[in-house]
Amino acid sequence: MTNGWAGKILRVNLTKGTIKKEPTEKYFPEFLGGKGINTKVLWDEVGPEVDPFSPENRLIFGTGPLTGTLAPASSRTNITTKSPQTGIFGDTNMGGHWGPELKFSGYDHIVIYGQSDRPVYLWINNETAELRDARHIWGKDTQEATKIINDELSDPKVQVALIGPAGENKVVAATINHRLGDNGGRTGTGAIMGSKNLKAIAVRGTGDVNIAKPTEFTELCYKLLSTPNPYIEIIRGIMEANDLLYKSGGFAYGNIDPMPFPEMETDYIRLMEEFCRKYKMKDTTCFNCPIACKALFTIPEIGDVILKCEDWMNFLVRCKKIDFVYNAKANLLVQKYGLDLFSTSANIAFLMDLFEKGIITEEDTDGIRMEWGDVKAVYAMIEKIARREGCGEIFAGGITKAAQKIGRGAEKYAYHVKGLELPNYILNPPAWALGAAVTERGCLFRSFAASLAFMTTATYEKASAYAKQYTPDIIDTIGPKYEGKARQVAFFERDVCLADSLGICRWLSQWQLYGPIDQDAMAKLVSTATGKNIDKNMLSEYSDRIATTIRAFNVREGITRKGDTIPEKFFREPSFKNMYPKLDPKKFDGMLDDYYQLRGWDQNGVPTRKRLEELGLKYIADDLEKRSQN
Amino acid sequence: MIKLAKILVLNPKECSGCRTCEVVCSLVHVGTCNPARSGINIWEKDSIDVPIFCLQCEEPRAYCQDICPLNAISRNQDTGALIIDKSKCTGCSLCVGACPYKAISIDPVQKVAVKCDLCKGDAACVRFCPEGALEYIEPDEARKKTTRQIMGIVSLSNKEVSR
Repeated sequence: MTNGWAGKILRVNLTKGTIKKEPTEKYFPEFLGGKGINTKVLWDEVGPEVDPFSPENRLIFGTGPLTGTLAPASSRTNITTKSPQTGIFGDTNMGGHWGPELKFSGYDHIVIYGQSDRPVYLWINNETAELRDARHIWGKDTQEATKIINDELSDPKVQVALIGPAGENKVVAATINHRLGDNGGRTGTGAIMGSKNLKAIAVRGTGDVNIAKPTEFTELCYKLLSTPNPYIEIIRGIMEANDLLYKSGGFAYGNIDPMPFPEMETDYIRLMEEFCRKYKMKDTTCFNCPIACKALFTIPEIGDVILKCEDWMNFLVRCKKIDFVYNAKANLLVQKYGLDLFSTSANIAFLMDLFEKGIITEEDTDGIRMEWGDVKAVYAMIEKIARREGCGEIFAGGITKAAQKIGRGAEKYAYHVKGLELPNYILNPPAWALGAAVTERGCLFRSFAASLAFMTTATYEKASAYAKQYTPDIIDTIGPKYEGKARQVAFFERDVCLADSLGICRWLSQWQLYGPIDQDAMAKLVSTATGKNIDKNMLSEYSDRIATTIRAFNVREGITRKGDTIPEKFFREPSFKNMYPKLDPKKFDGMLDDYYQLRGWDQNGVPTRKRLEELGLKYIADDLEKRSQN
Repeated sequence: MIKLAKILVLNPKECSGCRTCEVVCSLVHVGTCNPARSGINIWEKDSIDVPIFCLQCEEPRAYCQDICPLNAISRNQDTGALIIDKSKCTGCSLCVGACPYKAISIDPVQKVAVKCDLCKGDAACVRFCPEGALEYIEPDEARKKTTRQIMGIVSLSNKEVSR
């Protein structure tokens, strides 16, 4: 079993301060990889009676059999828990160098439970793992604390995953951060880490990750690395990507408003180019990644900032201010405090929207006038949310609780799915609507089928051309129609689930339609790395087993068809310039029916006994049945 | 005087710090993925990454070769690379200290010294580097670049990289 996998799972009981090891084999071959085994542990050990903040909740870090190997973009760690933000399956995926280092230290997973009576951090140095006092770093921001830990352990190669003040304060938008620019962002895993009094996990490993067929594996990786990938060009030229999104009408502005504000048209691209020319130092990456989606900027008055992907948009388009230095500073602030970029910018945009509508005044926000584009108000609110100071306290439980506390009709403007704030995208395209509605952890940009609508750019033809070349299986599902969208969404969900399980980055999977690592390539990579014969069909079954277990977990927490919906505004309003018409509720329901049928769930969204037994999950069927009888 | 057939050079501005070179080096040499056993190592400071590797010193004798008490380091006649004979090496670490470029380390599994051997002239790191930051080129061409690139390393560590 030691090929591909490091071979061991570390179990840390923070209440007792004890650390145990168990073989990863215990969970294979039933479940595969980071997300797979995380899901299984969560199902087994966290029942509906467990409150997210109780010591009984698990915080599970999982790497896959490809993490830390030569497989392209093999940097990923999946972090799973019961989310304090949504109360259901909480899951996030982190890049950087932490996951590979964990593998080199000899562990595939870390399962954390209990609650320490004082702040501690976990130090894993190859075989040895110990809990150390963290009182001196409690309260420090993520960058400062990382530096102190690295100095203390006197090794710059130690990789640290940690929480900032937001996580310590149990703000549900708290992240688990790693290096500058890398974090496990959504669903509030950082708040769980904070509730357990665990400040950080520092890892250093110098052991082997063995490969069953090294020569074959190396050549396969070379082939995948050297396959031309249109996405690399697009993501590096982030300007073109954003321009594309802007023109496609896919962005949402302010508080999920499809109408762009004037500066978006006139200044966005020009100012971004100017910013890059002035401050860009170099491209930078996670472990073993050919994409290099991140870039380092050194800005004299701010310092070093790493920006990638969504960092280029959220604070700009949400708070309606096109100023890239402000954006860099806001990004650095959320990273230092350990706050989720999406949730935090959504929360601030929500306040600005309420202020504009006259629902709140400066009296509700400690004297700060929450006007669109006011950068000082943004900085101040980030700090207040992270520290739970003054009006920041209302967001400690997420946007739904904040809206309830404000009252006065604010609920109507709190846009979320299952309690998780929307990313800055409209959900009018049918594939996005379905993807967002059924996603396992609440509305998340990364888990709904982004690509095809992403590429719509006024041209479904362009998407079709890519699909013809890369994903012929779903070519007939492209376009504005509702038919076939269930199949399209399930296709991308499988891809994403497998990437998260194997430990490679989704950006190289077909999630963006044209990544070089399709499911055939994944099967070959995992087979040559582990020496187990795993083909494409088996992978597909693995992903279905994971998806169905997660669904059963969510059903156990009370999610059914009723929860699988998106804010009603998308049924009411078309998108910008009517590029995407308003959604048809009947047809939307039809898509849900199709999706449940395809997944083998009943019309209420509950996995059927038949499907569960097919997937070897009889014990889940029994559990669900027993609970429904009580 | 020993002549190198070709020289491994670095374009420091291009390195993104992905560490593909470390992984592939260990995979082709010892059959596992383990950067700690690699002959090339990325050192990172303040988000700036610099790969460190053996420059195969062309002095009549290199420092590592000079200091090795067991004569475990010899030249490959084809490439000019300095090669460590693992069967002779005891892992005493004298060469690690002697190398002015910190390009030798101790393999934590086999407990022997490990450094770049230029892969018999087909350097895997060069082949796999997704950024084109590493090149294996003719000496004349390399000499034109080297000074500038070593300067590049120095200035990178001071964060004075030209934009």
